[in-house]
Amino acid sequence: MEGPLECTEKTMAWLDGALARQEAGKWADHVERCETCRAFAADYRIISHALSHRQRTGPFKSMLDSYHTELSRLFSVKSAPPRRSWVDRLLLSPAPAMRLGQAAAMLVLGISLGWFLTRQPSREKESVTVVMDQTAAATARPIDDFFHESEIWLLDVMNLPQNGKLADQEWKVTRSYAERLLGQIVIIREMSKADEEKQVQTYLDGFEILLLDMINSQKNDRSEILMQIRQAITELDLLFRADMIRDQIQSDHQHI
Amino acid sequence: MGFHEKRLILRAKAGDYAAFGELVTAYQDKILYLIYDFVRNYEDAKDLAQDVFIKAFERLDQFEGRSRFSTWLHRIAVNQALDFKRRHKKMKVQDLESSLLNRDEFHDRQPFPSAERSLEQQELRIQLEHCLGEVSENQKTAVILKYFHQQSTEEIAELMQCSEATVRTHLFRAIQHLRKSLILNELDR
Ligand SMILES: [Zn+2]
Repeated sequence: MEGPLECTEKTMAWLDGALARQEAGKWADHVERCETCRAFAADYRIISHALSHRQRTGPFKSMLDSYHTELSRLFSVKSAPPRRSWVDRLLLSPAPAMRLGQAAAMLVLGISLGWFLTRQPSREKESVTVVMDQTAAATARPIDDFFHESEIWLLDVMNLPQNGKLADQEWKVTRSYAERLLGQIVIIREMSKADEEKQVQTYLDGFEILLLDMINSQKNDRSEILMQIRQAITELDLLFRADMIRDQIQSDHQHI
Repeated sequence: MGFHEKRLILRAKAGDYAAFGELVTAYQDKILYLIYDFVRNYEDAKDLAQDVFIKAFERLDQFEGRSRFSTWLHRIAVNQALDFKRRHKKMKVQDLESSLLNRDEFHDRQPFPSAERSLEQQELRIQLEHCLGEVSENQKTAVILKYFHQQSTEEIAELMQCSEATVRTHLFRAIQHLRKSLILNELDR
């Protein structure tokens, strides 16, 4: 038969409930007869019970609280900004470099608003509406969510210089968030097939380029003021375009 | 894995930040304590746990749902903790016994009715945890997951990427070591 070591090991499997029913019955008989296994089983019960019921030491509540707070800051439901609140947030921005950036950005925003409105004949505007009509049930929600999340992300990115040196962990999260958004773009792209959706596509193209830039850029590159301004302009422009497209989607929904 | 959790994972995979936040909230304490059991220092455990969730978020696409989400997350945590320990081998390990005496707000489990019995058990636990420092990394990992974190042998096998039989052998060897150490301690008195 089995040697003493093998048989106690099998007894542990038996205690763990790992043996098939028939074999378990047989092994119960063995344990009954084998002194080594009986002693092992008795010790095992004490040891496993003690291990399973040990009281945990600490942590201090303050430490646990700060852990929870930090995690929720990293992964929280980022509160949804009210419509156009990004304008307020930008205007409240205290960093001088950012203000300069904002001033330039608002200027470009104004120009691009004019450009956007004059460039888009109403026919093109309607075509977007038509697309949304056709696929309203299937696409309205994901696109809405996409724009909403893009907006939050952009706001966060824009606030980077304000926060000073970004903690490594936060940077990692931002990066992988950006990567996730890129994945969404692919999905949304696959949903849109008609030519009329060119406008959405244009937005997505721009957004994708920005995201790629962000992902590829080194943290330090962003500390250069000129770079910040340029970035702020681009981001504001994209933000504005996202808003425009969402307006169209929403007014389209009201028509339904 | 419950239906709710599955939905959260799917949503998180699709880029829903809030859904991942919910998963984090559900597992944050479990992961912190699991890592603590390896590194024995809450400050390190806290940092490592944050890294675990960041890693999980980054790698969510790789989670295919073949194992339970908790097993997948536990694996990342164990790897993170073991990796940290290997890198900080020479760092001083917080003294277990003093840390056990220093206990504060964690009296959530009181399984023993008599205070006398409880004291005896407490002493036994201190001894066991001390002896656990002497077993191999694999054995210790298996013991921590099995007895401290109530993972099944099947889950541990998946997590350690070995067979269930191997897990049982790790556990068996660890238990045998603990038994022998306890017997020796008895003789010392
Ligand atoms: Zn036997």
